[in-house]
Amino acid sequence: MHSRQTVSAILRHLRPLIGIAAVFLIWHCACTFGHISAYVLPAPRKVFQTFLKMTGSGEIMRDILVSFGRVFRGFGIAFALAFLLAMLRIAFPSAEPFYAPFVQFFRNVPPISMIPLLILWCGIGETTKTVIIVLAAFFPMYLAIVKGFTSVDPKLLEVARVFEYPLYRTFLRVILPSALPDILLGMRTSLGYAWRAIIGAEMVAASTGLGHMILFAQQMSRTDKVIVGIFVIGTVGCLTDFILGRLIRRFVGGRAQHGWD
Amino acid sequence: MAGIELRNLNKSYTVDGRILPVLRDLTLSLESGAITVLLGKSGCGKTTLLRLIAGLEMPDSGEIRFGSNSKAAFVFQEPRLMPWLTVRDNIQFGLRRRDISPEDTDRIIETVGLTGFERAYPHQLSGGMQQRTALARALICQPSFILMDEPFAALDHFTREDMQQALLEIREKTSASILFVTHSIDEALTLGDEIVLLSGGIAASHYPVSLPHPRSLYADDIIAIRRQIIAGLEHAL
Repeated sequence: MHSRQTVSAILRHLRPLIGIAAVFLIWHCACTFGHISAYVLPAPRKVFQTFLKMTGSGEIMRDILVSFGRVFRGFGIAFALAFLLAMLRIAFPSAEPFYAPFVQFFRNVPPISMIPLLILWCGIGETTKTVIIVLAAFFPMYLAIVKGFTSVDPKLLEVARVFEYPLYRTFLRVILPSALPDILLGMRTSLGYAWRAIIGAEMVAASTGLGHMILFAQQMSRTDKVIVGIFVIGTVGCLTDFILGRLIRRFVGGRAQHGWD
Repeated sequence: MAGIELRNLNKSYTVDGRILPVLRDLTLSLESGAITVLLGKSGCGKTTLLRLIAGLEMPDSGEIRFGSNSKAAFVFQEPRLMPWLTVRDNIQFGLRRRDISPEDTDRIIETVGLTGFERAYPHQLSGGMQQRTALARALICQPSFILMDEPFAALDHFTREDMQQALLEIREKTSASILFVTHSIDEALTLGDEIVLLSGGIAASHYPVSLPHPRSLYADDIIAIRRQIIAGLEHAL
């Protein structure tokens, strides 16, 4: 009975690896027996060799660090702006109708579509890329923070009033902890948006970074490098999401099984 | 000695454009060191009165006067614990950092029977344990007055009896005054030194219960008071 449970637990953990292995096997077979051109789809072995070569030369790490820096700069600015504006929204709810149409409008405009204008206004330097990330990461975070702050249980606020909490203490001990799961969830969503946006931005207006690396490889007809770039982006994105997810679980998950009651 | 004096309290709410008076010129004196039970049907204004005393709402007119050194604490119908805080942190919620003494907290935790659950989160506790935590949170502030709004209403019969017993023991130890709202006549008779029947927005009747604790609900004196209360409730209708 015990050994059967152990086997099923191992199989449960192996399932994703089996899925990945199957995809690689199909890919390998298609390249070996399917008479597909190496230009259209290079074999996994070739892609892996290219990856090792790029890692050895430091090329990949340099591009990862550049993209990483851009994402976190833009993400940090977006978070600060979203938090401040959400606070304003809470402090002055009557002002919301004045700016709500702009929020709704820009929320539906893909930041990539702003690239031509941003190049015109800010050039092809770092500012354009930062603004694109800010635009992509701001809205999910802003909406999540506003939702977190506005859905604080009024009964808990009454408890703070009964204990004669001043406003700053009510904010720090009731409102902020209560809104934290929504804030962290918004941050996680926004981080994904920021990664997608930076790749788009680097493909158009950059000479470094993962996006530029992919575009340059395509121009050089190096499909193997394009695939390496895609894998690296996906892996780095998954890794940052995983780290943020662990942080969320540390702040929230340990205190209740599925978020706070 | 009066702990809290209520004079000519009026409170009304506006519902669908209609003014709904809840308290009408209510005048009441709550004795210091006693358990005063507010009894009445649902919607008679018991909770409103408690919220006015706690300062959670303002009266339309009238006066609430506290005795000297009055410090009130509130125990709500629901535990209202902070889900992100442990039992210990929830209990210390009303204290400032400099006022927190681990020994005092341990003593309160022991008094309410939560020893061993200090590091548990509210979702890991039963309803009775959550309510005990809420009670401890009120007690640790060493209030001279505890306002309790049907705190045991959601508990089963046996947990409710345990909690009533715990409350009486706490009162013995702290000599705090308690204003206890309930719609259960049995609970009022078990706990109250004085029972106030709230009806039509006023304190319609007073029933002093000068019997020692623990009380048997089948004792002749208690049955006699119960009859009076039921008659009072029927008359109030």
